[in-house]
Amino acid sequence: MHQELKLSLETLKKFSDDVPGLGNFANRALVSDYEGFVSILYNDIDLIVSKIEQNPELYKNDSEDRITIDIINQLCAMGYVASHEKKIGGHTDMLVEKPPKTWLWIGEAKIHSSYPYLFKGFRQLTTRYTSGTNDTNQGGMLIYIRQANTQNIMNKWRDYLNKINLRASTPFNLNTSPCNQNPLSFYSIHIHQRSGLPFTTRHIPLVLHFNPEDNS
Amino acid sequence: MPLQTLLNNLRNRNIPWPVMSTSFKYHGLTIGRGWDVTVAKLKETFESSSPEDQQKQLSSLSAIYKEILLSCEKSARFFTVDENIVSQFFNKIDNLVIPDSPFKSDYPNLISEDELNDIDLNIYLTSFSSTSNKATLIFCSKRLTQERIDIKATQFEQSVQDILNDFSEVIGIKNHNRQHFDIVVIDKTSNGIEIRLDYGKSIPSNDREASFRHIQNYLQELISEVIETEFILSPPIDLFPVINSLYHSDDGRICELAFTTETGSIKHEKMRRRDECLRSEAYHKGGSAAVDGNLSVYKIAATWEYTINDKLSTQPELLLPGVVRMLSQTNTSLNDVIISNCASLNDYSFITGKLEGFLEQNESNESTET
Amino acid sequence: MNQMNQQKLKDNIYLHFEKDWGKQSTQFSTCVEIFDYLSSRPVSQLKHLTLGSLKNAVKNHYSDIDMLTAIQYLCGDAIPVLSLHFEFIDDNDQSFDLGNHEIIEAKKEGKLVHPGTGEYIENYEEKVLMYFTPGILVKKAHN
Repeated sequence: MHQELKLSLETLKKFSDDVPGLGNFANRALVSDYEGFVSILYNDIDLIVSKIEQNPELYKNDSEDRITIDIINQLCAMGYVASHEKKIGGHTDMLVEKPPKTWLWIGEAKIHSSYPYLFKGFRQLTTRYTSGTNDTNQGGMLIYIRQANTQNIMNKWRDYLNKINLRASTPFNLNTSPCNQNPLSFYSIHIHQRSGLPFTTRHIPLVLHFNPEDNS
Repeated sequence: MPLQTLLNNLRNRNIPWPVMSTSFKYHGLTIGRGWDVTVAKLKETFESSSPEDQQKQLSSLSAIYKEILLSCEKSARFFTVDENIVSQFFNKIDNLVIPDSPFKSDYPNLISEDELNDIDLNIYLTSFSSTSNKATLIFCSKRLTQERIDIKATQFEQSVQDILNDFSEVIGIKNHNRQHFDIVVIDKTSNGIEIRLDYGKSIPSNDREASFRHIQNYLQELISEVIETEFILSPPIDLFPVINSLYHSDDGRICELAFTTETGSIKHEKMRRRDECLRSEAYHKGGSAAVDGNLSVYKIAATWEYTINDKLSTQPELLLPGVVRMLSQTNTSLNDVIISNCASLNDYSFITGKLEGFLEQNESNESTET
Repeated sequence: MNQMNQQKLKDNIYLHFEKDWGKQSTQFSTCVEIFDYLSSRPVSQLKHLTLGSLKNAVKNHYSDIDMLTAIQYLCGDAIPVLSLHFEFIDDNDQSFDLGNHEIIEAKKEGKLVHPGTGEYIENYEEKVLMYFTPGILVKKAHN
C-alpha cells in the first residue's frame, strides 16, 4: 500500500541530494539573528561551491560574472533574495538580503590571477560596498582558482593580506583565522574603515583546476 | 517529604506539562524546558537555599502535589443524596475510621513498588478531611495499567535483531501496577456525592465503569457504617443531556465532537488548533448547514481559558464521552465525564460549575415545557 | 487592494517565477499552480496545509521532488507565498504546534521536549512535521 510522504525534519535529509539546499530548509526558517543568517548562508554557499567543483570542466571558459550568476541563481532557488550587480556604492558581485530586516551579506568574486588583483577585490568589498555596521559586518571573497594547488594559493593570499596589514600607513588591524567548515577557506577580521567596527570576511575558494593527465 | 520523592511523585503522575509548569510558576518555583531541566534547576535552587527557604519550597511542592491528587486527570460521576442521609453522615462523621494499610501510613506518598505488588486489589480509605459542609475522602487502590513501549532492535543480541529488522516498528505492551488516588466529595450544600476516578482519561470505558462500581460499592458500605443504617447510592446523574446544551451554547471552545446525521453518517471531528472552536470551523458549519443543523451529537469536549492571575492561565477540558448507541437507546445514561488539564481545585471547580450550570439549565427547560 | 492592483501583484509574482526558473521548466508550472490554488481559496480556510494537501491542490501533477523544490523556494524570503510551521504529532495522534525556539533548542541539545509530557523524545526529527499557511504575498493578493 502506498504510504503518503510525511514532511518531517528527517524527510528533508532524505531528499537533500535531490533538492539542493533542502537539508538546510528548516534552518533557514529558524534564523533569528544576523550571525545565524550568515552562518546558514555559508552552509548553502559551501554546498553550491562543492557542486560546481564536481564539474570544473564545465566552467573552464566561463567569465567571473557567469560563475557568480550561477551561484546567485542557485541561492535564489533556495528562496534567498540574492542578486548580481545590485548597486550599493557600486555594482556588487553578490548581494544577499533578508527582508524585512536590514541584514546584508555582500560577496566579491574574483578569478585568481594575482594577489594584488585579489586585494583590489578585497578593498572594493571592504571600502566601497559594505558599511561595516552591525547588520552588515560580514562579507565574503569568492576566489575562482583555475591553477593547481588551491591550498598553496590560499595560504599565499592569507600571507599577502597579513603583510599588507603590517605595511599599511593606516593600520586596519587585520587578523586571520582558520575556517572550521572548510580547511581551504579562512576568515579575516579587521577594523572597518567606515564604521570603525570589526568586519569579518570569509575567503572562499572555488577549486576549478582541470587538467586531467589521462589523455586517451 | 524529601524533595526527590515529591518530584518523583509529581513526575510519575504524567501530568500534562503545560499544567505542571503553570503550577510551578504560580508557586514561584524555577522551571526549565521539560522535566529533566526543571528537576535539575529545582534541586540546584534547593541546595543553595537557606533551611527556611528550603521548607517553603517543600511546602509549595507538597501543596501542588496534594492539589494534583485531588483535581488532576479525573473521571467524575455525580449522585444526588437524600438530605437526611447527608446530615446524618456529617453528624456521625466521627464514626469514620481510616483502617490501617500501607496506603494510609505512606499517604500522600506512593507506597513502594514491592508493597504495591503485594497488596490486594481492594479499595482502601486512606485519608479524609472535612469542613461543616464538605467531606473529602481519599481512597487508594492498586490497578493494572498497560504501557505502550517502542522496542528497539539494538537492545537485543544479533539473532533477535535480524528478525526484528524486518519490521519498521516493534511495539511492546507492558502491564504494570499503579497506585490510584480516587476522591469522594460529600457536599452538604448540594446534597450530592461526587466520585473522582484517578487517571480517568487513560482508562478504557469498560474498566472505568468497573472501577466506579467498585468505589460505589465500597462507599455504600462505608456510609452505611457511619450512619448505622443501610445506604444505597441512587443511579448517577445522567449527563447525556449536557452534550446537546453545550454544543448549542456559545460557551467554551469545542475541540472534539462526534455526531450522526440524518443522512446516515457518523462523524468524528477534532480541532487541532488550540484557539479555534469546531462550532465556527468552515467545514463543520458547511456540513451542518447542508443538513439544516440537524446533528445528533453524542460525544463532545470543550475547553475554557481559566485565568489564574494576569500572567498565568490554564485550559481545563471537559469531555462528555458518549457513544453512538446512546442516541438509539431509550434507557440510556452517560454516567461520567472526564475532566483534564486542571492545575488545582480552582479550575476543576470551574469545570464542574459549568457542568452544573448546564444541568440546571436543562432542568429549568424541562419544567418550563411541562 | 483593488482588482487591478491584485492582478499587477500576481503578474509580478509570475514574472519572478519565470526569472528564477524559466517559463518552460516544471518548477515554473509547480510554483504557478500552488500560487493560483492559494489565491483561489479564502485565506481563513487555509490554516493547515500539508505536503499532501498541496499535492492534492495541484491534482498530483508533480513528483515529491518537484513539490519539495517549489515549497522550499516559496517559503523563502524572495517570494513568500508559503509560511512554514512546525508541529509534533505524538503516538496518540495528538498534535502540538512547536515554536521556532523549541526546534532551535532541540537542534542544540539533540532532543526535543514533548510539549504534552515534558519528557524528552527520541528520534524527534522523524516526529517533527512541517505544515504551511499562506505567506505575505498571498495575503496581499487577497486584500
